[in-house]
Amino acid sequence: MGFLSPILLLGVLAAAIPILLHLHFRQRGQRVEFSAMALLARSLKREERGIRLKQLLLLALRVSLLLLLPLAMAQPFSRCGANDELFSSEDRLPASVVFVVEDSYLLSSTQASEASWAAASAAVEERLRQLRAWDRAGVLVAAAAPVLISPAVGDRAAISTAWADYEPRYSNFDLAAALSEARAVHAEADQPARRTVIIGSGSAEAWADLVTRDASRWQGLGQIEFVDLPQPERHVGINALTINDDSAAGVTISATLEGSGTSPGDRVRAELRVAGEEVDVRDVELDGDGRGSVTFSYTPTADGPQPLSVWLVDAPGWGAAQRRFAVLDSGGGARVLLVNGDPRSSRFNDELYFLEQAISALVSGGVSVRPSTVNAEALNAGHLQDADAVFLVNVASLPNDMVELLRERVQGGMGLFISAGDNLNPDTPEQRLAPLLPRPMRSRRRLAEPNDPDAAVRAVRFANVDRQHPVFRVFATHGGESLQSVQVYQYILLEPQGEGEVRTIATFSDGAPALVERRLGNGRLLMWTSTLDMDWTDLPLRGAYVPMIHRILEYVGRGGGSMSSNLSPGGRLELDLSSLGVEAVDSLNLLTAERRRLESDADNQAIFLAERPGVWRLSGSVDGESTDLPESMVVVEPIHTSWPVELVDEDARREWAEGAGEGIWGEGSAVVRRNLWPWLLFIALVIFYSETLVAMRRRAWQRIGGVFGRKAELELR
Amino acid sequence: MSGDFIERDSLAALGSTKLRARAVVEGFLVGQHRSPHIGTSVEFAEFKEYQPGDDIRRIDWQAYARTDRYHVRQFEDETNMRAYLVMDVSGSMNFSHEGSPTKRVWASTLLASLAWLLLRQGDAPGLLVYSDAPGMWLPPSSRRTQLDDLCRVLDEAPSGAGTNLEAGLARVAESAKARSMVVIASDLLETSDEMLTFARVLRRRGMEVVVFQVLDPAELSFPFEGMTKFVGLEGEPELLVEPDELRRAYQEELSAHLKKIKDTCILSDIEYHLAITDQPVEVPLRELLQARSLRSRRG
Repeated sequence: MGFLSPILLLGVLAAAIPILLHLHFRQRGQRVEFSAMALLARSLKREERGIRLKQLLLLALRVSLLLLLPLAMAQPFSRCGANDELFSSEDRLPASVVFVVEDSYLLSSTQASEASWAAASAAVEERLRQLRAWDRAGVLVAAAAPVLISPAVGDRAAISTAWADYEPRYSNFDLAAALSEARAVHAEADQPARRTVIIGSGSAEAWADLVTRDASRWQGLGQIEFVDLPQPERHVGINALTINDDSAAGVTISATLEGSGTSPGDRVRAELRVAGEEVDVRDVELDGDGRGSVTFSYTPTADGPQPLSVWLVDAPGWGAAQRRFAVLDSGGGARVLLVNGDPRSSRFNDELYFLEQAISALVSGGVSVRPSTVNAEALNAGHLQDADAVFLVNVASLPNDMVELLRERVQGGMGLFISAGDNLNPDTPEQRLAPLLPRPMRSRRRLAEPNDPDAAVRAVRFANVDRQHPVFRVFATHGGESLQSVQVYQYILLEPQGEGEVRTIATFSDGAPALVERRLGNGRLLMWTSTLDMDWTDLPLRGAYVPMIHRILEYVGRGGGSMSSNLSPGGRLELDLSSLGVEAVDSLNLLTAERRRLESDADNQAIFLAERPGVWRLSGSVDGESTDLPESMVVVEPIHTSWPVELVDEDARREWAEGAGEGIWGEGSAVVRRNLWPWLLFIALVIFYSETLVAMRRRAWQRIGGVFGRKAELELR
Repeated sequence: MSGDFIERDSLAALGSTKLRARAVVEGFLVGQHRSPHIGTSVEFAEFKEYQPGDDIRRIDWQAYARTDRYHVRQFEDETNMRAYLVMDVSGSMNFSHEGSPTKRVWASTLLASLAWLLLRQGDAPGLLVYSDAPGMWLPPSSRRTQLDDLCRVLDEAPSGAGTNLEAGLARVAESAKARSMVVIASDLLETSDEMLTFARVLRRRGMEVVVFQVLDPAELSFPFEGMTKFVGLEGEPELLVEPDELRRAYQEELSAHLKKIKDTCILSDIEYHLAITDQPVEVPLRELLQARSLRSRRG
């Protein structure tokens, strides 16, 4: 049993009052000298027993009354099963109800009856209507970070308004973090009962992180209700988008489609949009496996990067997977000159082998880069003329004039990337490349040979990595762990100090710099202190190699251009205003033309929040003038997964609910409240009337009897 | 007639028994056409020839018609009657409630008034006061100072702790002769069967016995309210009671007690009067006279 107002129980102390009064007045009757004492004594003897019983009864009634009243006012209740027919939902305990809604592309169905944001909204509204006046409701969205739409309040209209103002991002989401936040919302509401409604896809992906962990971490969620919105039975989405830029023939945009639940011969319509304008429409026929492809040819009509997107129109399934965005760079991509410091006849052993393979894969994947290769001995000024960036790969030395030329070009805005190797010897007295290096070389540190049995133990790995740097930002999301798996057996140790603006972007686990950047005029140079092949590291074999090369290519290759970043909805991009040399950063939505100035934090970082899919262009602001940024294009699109969607194991999820909360909502748990105070008040009323009747003086009874014709007083005269 | 009676408040204001008795008697006699006669019945004894000086009201005209001579009636009761006034001065007689005169004051006034009337008609009242034992004894006498002595005894007799009426009656019985009158004024709250037996004995010996049971109105109605500690006037143990709880039972006990006394008196040919102290003293006196008159006409 419990009490809704337990503080009023202090009133039971008043039950002592009749006892104290009884004891007090018992000793203090009025004194009267009387003559007929014998008669009085005889009459007392006759009535003594009845008198005593009456007094005890009155005392008991009065004490009971003073006990029952505060008990009733404290509003006692008892819990009983929800299936007990005697009690309706009116007796349910006041509850705090927190809605946790999954904001992922799995809720982006184009059909309102399926797993769509409209269906999620309808589920929230329906349950809000079912709540009682004493319930409190709050809404959380499980996005990349929990978004509190409304704390637990009683104002349903305010909740509905706040909910309607939220625009889904269809992003990656963290359900575990959202449920942890839900606990805090419950705790603030401070209601005797709790209920958590989890609305989402019911996918294994959503629950994978939860069901495998100790559920007691989420205790406090109360009873849990799962609202799994039905996934589309048919879905067609864009699996991949590639852009091939053939300067002569124009740009070819290819999109591969993949569907489930479709039939052979099903057709969908695909649109190509450039800078928000529809430029081409094609019908795509799907095969028996639900696959299809569409290719658009497009001749750019303007220079510079432009947002590009392919949309599926009126296709069934998840809408968020039916559009892909990219940046079309009509300039043909960065021209990168690869300078081979150690050419080999054997392709595999060539210094540039893995680099070229990575670049080839990037080009195949739609990255706009135009590589060219030259051996170090053959490098001349002509090679540098059109280069946007130069990679010096294991180059031991260059003529002084070439070094000076390179320096000038970097100062003019060209990018320079230097990687180490056996040819780069810190012990060489004449260090001709020294003017290009971010910091002087100190020594070569060999930790192990790649074939050593204990190489994995002795090797160093990436330790402190600036994941906000454009080169490593991609590793802040999925795939970041691949960077940690890289083993480096040998590297060049640099001096701790260097000239100019130098910063270490990444270090090894022993503290030695791994990737160092130096600003030189309008350009920048990067130095990787190990190799780009397998001589000193196994980086080329790791999944981080290609994206790292991609980011390095774009960073050094687009020093004055339009490097793009790919984010997921909910992600964020932090731009250091000081290093960019700007006062502020503005964003322009290339699809909607919405312009916004990014907010800055206390560390002078401009924050770009990826709220929804699309393409944005960033630009810097100096003295009111707009200026380009190295990383000026931001593409935001949801993270896709394979379909059909694998649903969570129900037993595992139920077990989690048992551990985290009070079981499943509506399955016979003790949520119903039996109000006891009405009964107590009724009993108190009966006692009150009984006390009145018992305490009435006999004369009063006699008068009443006289009214009804009965003899009122004994006639003695 | 009520206008001739002395109100009890006024009566109580008169300090001494004698004064009170005077007020009662004077008020009582005002309304009487002829002198009240208290005492035993006057019985006809014989005729005698009329002599000058005899009361012509005694001439028996029927005898004249028969004998053609004037004859006067001569009664037996040509001598003084002795009246023994028995006054209960036990503690219980000191009870009064809400300003009423105590039973003792009231009863004293009654007996003193009675004594006055008796003396006025030439009878000889005596007085015995008693409580737990016979107290002061004033033999019957018709001398002029008898009333003063009687009133002084009534005023000054100390109250006793208990009540022993039979002892008092025994004392009366020692002195009383036939054709005496015994008037008892008591509350009779502690009456025993022995007392009633004594009264019957006195009656059988030819005495007229009159009982005035004097009670306060509060003893009848038991008007007390709220938790009350009753303290006995004769040293009885205290009783802490809620009067409302006992009122009915008390009244039943009292009623039974009064009935028993009354029935016993009736059966024993004892004249019984219930006198309540909120009545004027004249009322029981009148009742007594009326009873006397009725008895003499029968007789």
